[in-house]
Amino acid sequence: MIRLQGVHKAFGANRVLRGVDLEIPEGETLTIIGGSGTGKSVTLKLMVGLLRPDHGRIWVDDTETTFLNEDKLFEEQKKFGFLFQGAALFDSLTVAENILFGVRNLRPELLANARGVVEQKLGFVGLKPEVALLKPAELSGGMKKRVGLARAIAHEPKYILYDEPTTGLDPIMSDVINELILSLQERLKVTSIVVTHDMKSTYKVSNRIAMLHEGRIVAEGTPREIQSSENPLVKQFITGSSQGPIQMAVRHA
Amino acid sequence: MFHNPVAFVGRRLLGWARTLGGVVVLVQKTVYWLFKARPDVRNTAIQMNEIGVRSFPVTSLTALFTGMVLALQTGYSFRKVFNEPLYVGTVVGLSLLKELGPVLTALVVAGRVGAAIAAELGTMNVTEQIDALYTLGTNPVRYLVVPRFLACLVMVPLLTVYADLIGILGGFGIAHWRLGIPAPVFWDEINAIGLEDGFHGLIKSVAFALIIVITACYKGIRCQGGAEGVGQATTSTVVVSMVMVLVSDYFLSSLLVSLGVG
Repeated sequence: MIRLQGVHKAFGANRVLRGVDLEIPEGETLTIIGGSGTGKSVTLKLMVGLLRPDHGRIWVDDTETTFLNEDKLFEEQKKFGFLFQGAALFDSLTVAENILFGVRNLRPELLANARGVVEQKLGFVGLKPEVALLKPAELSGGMKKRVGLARAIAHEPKYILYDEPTTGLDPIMSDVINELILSLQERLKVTSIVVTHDMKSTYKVSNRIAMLHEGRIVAEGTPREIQSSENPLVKQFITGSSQGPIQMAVRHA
Repeated sequence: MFHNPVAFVGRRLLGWARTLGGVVVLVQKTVYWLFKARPDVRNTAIQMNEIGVRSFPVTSLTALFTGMVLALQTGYSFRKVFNEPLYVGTVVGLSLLKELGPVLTALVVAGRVGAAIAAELGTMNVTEQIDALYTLGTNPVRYLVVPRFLACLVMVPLLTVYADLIGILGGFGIAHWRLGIPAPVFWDEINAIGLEDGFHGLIKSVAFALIIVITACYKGIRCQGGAEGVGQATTSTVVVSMVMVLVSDYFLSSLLVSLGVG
């Protein structure tokens, strides 16, 4: 279980999160939706300890990670797999080396069968073993995301965090990634937190949806509840309308 | 933004304090990881090749022509004053060992290696690869900064020694074949230079290596704002490290001279 309580985070004068309360029980897939710049990715990075909150508290299972030192935080970070928006593959390493990077540090015992780990994880994300020897520059956008996902699951984490998993992909590849997320949930029984503004993807992969607006969670519910929500913020966001209470910068121009 | 001059000065001072604090923290973390965990041998060797071996050609060319021009200018200038090209070996040797060898090598490394380190780490930062390192159980300072730090600390002094030798050889070529100075005269003057003069240059080259690598790593790791940010980090690394090398050169020389080193 991951729990955020009254979390605030600012970057200079920009107060991104202004009191986020969120709880993600085990086995659930929660999707955080919201406009660009509302702090969705910041929320993910706070969960995994890449950022520290200014105020508020964060728990991972029974451990409060808010004030942990680097060594103790490292133990908690082992529980997470993180799929970055641009995949964040290491350019100088091959696909296989990328996949084994986390395994080497977090689960060295799995290295006894390194080749098996690479082939199995590539298989999970629908890639052939031949891809293992390629460098990231030789991969397409969709393949990079898949390799990023293979790397995120290689050390068999309990929680997988997806930062905009379908952004920048064509609709078919987006659906392939959605299917992958679903299949990983079924096969690995992991808890997932997805950050996206792609509503099709949201409805497909989520058990529960939370909407972030102006630094706070303004709505939470199952996909069905969100779809039928009367909250004007939610209605405007899920229908993708420029008319409504959410004022985007373009309207001030 | 500039309405209130006090606020403007305050903001600038806070910015400098923040940068200085950031640099100190980076140095502290680098030293911590240097001793806490065994350095990554493969990564360090790659960086030594990149920073040292691949800087050899440009360092050689710079040192060779500097030595040559130094001998030429000294020879002709002294011939005007003394009617003989006296002390060419002494001037070439001392200038290269104490000043030009370490400073020119540092400037070449700052331009070639400092820019490359800042661009590489900056790109890794803006593409979230540094965040990815954390999530995969690796501290970026340990994985990225320590190997570059070690490589610079070893390779810059080595490059300096090499530049000194090449520069002196270049100077000898001009002194002997163009100015007609007999070889034993030139080499006697070189041999008369004390070991402490060599140390003077080497100590400075270690300090320059530290300046370059810490500036480049700091600018790279703190880089923000996509491709534009990477460009700014790269440019500012080269400018800041070159200026700091030149400014610190005076103060280090002054300190070393007062301590009797060279």
